[in-house]
Amino acid sequence: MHKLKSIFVKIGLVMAPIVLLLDLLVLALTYNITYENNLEICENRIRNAAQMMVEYCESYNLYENMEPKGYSREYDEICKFFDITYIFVVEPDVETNSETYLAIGFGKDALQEAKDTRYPGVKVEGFLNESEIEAYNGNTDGVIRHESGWAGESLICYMPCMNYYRSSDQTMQKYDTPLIVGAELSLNRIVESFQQRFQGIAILTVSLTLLMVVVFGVILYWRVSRPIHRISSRMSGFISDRKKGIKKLEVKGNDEFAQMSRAFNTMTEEIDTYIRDIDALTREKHTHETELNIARRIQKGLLRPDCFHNDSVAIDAYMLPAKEVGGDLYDYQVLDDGRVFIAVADVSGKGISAALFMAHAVTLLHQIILTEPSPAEILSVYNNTLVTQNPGGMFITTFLAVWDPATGELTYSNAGHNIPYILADTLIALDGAHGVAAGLFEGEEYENATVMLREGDTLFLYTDGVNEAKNTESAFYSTERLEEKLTLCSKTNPCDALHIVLDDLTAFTRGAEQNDDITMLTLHIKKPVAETTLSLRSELSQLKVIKDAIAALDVSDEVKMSIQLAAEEMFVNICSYAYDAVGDVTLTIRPESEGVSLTFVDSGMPFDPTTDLPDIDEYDHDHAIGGLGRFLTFSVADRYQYEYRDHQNVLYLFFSEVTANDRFENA
Amino acid sequence: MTVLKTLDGDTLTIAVDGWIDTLTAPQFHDAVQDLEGTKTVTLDFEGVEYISSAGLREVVALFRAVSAQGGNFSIRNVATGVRDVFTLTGFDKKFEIRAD
Repeated sequence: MHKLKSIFVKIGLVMAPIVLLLDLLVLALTYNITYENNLEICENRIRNAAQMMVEYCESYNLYENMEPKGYSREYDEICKFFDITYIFVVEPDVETNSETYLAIGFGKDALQEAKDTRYPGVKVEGFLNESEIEAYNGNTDGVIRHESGWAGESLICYMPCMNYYRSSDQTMQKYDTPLIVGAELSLNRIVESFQQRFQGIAILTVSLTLLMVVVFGVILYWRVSRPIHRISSRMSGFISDRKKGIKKLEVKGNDEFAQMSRAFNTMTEEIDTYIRDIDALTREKHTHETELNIARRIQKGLLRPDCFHNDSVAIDAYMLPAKEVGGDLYDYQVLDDGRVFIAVADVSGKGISAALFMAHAVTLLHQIILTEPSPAEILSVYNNTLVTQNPGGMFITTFLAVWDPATGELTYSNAGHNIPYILADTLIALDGAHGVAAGLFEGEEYENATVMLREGDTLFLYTDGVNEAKNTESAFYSTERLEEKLTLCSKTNPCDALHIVLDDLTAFTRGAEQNDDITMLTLHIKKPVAETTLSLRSELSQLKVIKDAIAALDVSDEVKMSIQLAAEEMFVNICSYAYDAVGDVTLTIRPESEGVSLTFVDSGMPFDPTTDLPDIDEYDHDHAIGGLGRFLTFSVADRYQYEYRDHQNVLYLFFSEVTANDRFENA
Repeated sequence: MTVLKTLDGDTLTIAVDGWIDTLTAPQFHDAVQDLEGTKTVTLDFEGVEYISSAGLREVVALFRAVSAQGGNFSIRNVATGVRDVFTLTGFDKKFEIRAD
């Protein structure tokens, strides 16, 4: 966790200087105002003192009552009374800018030097200032002068004594010259004591401010910072602490934090419930998915393998449910007399309900194919059985056909399903014998239709998931595009129609969500070709025979090399593992219309070489070396199929000439 | 199949002609056993038209032996089809395979 730098510390650090500055500003202002007030009081004092002295002068003839140096008790009393420093009366001589002291009194802070040099009769030269002159000229209000002189700072009030004094005979006499009374107050003492007091106040104020800041800080820390810290630490550890059980925040008082704690507790509970719900949902979903995956495998297991080959036909099938399980089905069976039965069906709807209905339908088909003579009759029984066991009112469109190798005739019947095609010289749509979808109406009759399916032709069955597949722009794949592709296939590569359409469909729908199950099935009637069957012993020396037979094939060198590689690897595999000693191996090499197929048959131990192939990206090239042969074989073969039947391992490999060339060009 | 070895200082060139398959792989195996004193081993595959997993194993064994004694190993003049076998199995990432 980061070291916490509290916001209160930050705010405090910014606020403290501001508060102190404000403090000082207020103090300075107060100082100024009170100082001015003080001065005014002092001025009044000296003015009153001067007034009193003027009145005194009007009572006595100062010249006659001049006291000697050191005897000024009377005047000292005035100083004491008004608490001023000096009181004096001078006779000014404007001509010579001098003054002569007639009387002087000293206050308690008068300087000794002044006492020594100023006494009645002393004449001081050049000391007459403009304030004295103003007083001399008749300003009886008193002229206040703020003076900074040899005796420090002082405040003086000058007042003229304009009237005559009262002589002993009670008549008013006039002095020879007007006199000036001066009352002086030394400010040194006043200012000093004022400043001292003020300093006390300032210190007290600043201390109080600081104390308040600290107290405020402590309160904030205890009441705000700590609760926030407590809540935040609970928040940050919410998920990890959850396992230990949820602890609620203590709710104290009724302030914002109590509110916040309550809100936090509520949130905690809600989140906890929410998480529990999600957990439960996830578990449920997981179980559900697992079950669906099992269902998917079971459904796949109900269907026949997606690839079948015998001497006369090749069947390819493909089914991709839109969800885990689907409502499409395909089925085929090769009967003992060589007849081939095929079917494609599509249950209304999709998902689990459709899948269950499909399972029922496919099982039913398996059973009745063998008991009924023709597609129409099979459909009829199929329909009647489904009607009686269909509480959900579902229906299933079904196309059924039987191909007879003896006549080359394809007999088919259609219960509301998409029209299939035959890829012959042109594209033929099988639009006959079209009846109602199965599962709805009991006793429905179906018809048979017949068409020729010749050697080299391919029958293409599909469900509407193909033509109604949508791309990212919501456009349908469309029957037109399907027909176009199939027409092209009929001219170039009819036996591989399913994979060509599938590639085109996949490219078309790339990035779009699949909304319906997609199913396709092709039945290709092979052209009879000259095949080579080699009866071999499981001995490595027999490789020469295989090599010669492959060398004689009429295919490109590249394809020949792939075939040789696969043949060698599989034969060596059989030689090494199939038999304890030596046994028989049959290899059938069959040129097909678009490539070559190999079929290995041996009676050794059952072994499916197509499983557990090494993953070459994770292959340990430095150590393990097993499985490489099998890996190479199934990398170069375009299709392969393994079966264990009648106590024999049957491995079918197909090499397409087209694909092989492509691969080598791309390499 | 024939194997022709040319030693030039500590460089050994092994020219192979023909198929290296299950039947000829033991012959190849015997031919490349004595490597003492060689630093660089180059397989010249100009005459090799075909190789199967048996041949692949022998080539890989040789590569390991050369690597074990700190030498360099490469294959040159590899035809496309043979190269594909090395590419499919991922061995082209282990040692240098050149077309010329």
